[in-house]
Amino acid sequence: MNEVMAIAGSTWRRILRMKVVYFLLLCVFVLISSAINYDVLSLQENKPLMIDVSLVLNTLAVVLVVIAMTFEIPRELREGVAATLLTKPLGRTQYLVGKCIGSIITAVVISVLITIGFFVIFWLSFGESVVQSLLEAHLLVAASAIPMSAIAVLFSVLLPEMITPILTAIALWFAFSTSRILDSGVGKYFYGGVLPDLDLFNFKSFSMVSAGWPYFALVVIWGIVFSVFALSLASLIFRFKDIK
Amino acid sequence: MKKSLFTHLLVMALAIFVGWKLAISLHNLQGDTLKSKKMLSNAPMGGFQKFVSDIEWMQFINYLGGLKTIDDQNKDEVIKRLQKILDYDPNFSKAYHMGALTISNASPQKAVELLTRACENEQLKDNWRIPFLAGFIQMHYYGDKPDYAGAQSFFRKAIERSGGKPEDYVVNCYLRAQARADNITNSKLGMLKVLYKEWKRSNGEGMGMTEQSVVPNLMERLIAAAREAKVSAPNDQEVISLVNEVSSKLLVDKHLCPKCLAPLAPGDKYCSTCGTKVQVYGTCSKCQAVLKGRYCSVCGFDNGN
Repeated sequence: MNEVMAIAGSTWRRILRMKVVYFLLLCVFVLISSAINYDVLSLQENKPLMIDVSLVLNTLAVVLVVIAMTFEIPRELREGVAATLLTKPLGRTQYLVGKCIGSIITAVVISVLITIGFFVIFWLSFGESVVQSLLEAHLLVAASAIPMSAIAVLFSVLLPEMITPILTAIALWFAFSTSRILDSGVGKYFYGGVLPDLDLFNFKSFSMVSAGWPYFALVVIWGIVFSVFALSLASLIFRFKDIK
Repeated sequence: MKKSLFTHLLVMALAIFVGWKLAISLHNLQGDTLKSKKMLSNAPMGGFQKFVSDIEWMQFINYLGGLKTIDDQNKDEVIKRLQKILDYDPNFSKAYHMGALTISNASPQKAVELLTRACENEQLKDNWRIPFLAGFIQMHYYGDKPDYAGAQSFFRKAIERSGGKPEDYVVNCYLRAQARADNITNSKLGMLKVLYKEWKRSNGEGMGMTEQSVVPNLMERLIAAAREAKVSAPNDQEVISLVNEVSSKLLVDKHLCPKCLAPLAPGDKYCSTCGTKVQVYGTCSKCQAVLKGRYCSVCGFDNGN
């Protein structure tokens, strides 16, 4: 467990030390704040617009962190860092789990920072405090980092380095539409277990409706269960991968 | 190695099964919470439907700003853009209001169709303006063939959604639509007829099942309508007949003047509006003083028995 957390710690600390992360956060806050100026263009719909922009940017930030992970593992394999780590008594599974947890922590931290920044901007712009449904919507975005990171780790061991980020992004995009297969015959048995449904985290489209904390807890549990599947599969593939 | 492989496969199988079950439950739970989700467009938008709807909305405003009028040449484009916005965000109430008003002249049926769809949206069930607007369009924008029955139904819905305190103009529109739907041509007793019908419906009189009236203060409105009908048409036989029927059925214990239906105060011997001699009420049976309670405040007589 210590080794796993050490891998995770090195991952998130390295990313969060980068100045570009905070520059990107600043850009996010500027974009969110700018929504207040759209009252004329949107016919006084600038408040819902600001909410929607914040949720979208929060999601994009989480996706960016997750995509960054798809560069991380191939890079470490290529540079021999992974080989050095794996010669020590550190299993391949633990390595992957550590990377996944590191990605999750990074994404959650950035998402929480964006959430806090948004609520401050929202309060300064409209004088309104935090509403539970809005808080839940943002926290669900942060929680969606769990299955997304697992997908990124799986793709990074499964696919060649060149196409992994693109295919991961495409997979994450379509993972919001997986529930359509529930209407099909055989497809519904793959739903949720093999094929993730990221739409379960998506209350962005309905951010004034409260999901409830029990729903939040259940969806986090589902995210963890799916991550167990994805990481097990990744570990199985990684076991047979040749590391020079 | 074999043991490790077996462990991996077992963990994966368990995770797939538990994940599948949990995901189905969560999907159903989400569907119960977000009832309008089934109205969302099927296009894969990465969960960004509402944001895309906002962008489409601003583009729509911009597009409308460049038009002089909405006519047969551009109405299809306007409707197409509006439909797109609402497909991505079925809870966008402003788009329903503004969009329906925008196309109500060029395509009133389409406007009502959009508003009907909004009425079916559970998330908008407290919005009374949407059905009101639909009824208004059906009454005033359908040219030679206004749909009064449909309008009445929408106005009724608007009143029901008003949380017990509907605006007066909404109630008046409902009553007016009902009168037009029933082909009431005598304008002097149109309101009285409609209100009386509403009362009969809520009391199950000859109308089949009893249906609760949505008109607030129905009795007060009935009395006012009867009074106004009598004053405005004192010699109209139809008016007299209906007012008498309403008075005998509903207004017997209301202490109203039999001639002009003005309210009478306790102790009144004559109506203060028309001077008709009326039956006195609310006085002491011994000294005829106006009673303030069970016992007379002048002579102390117990009027309780």
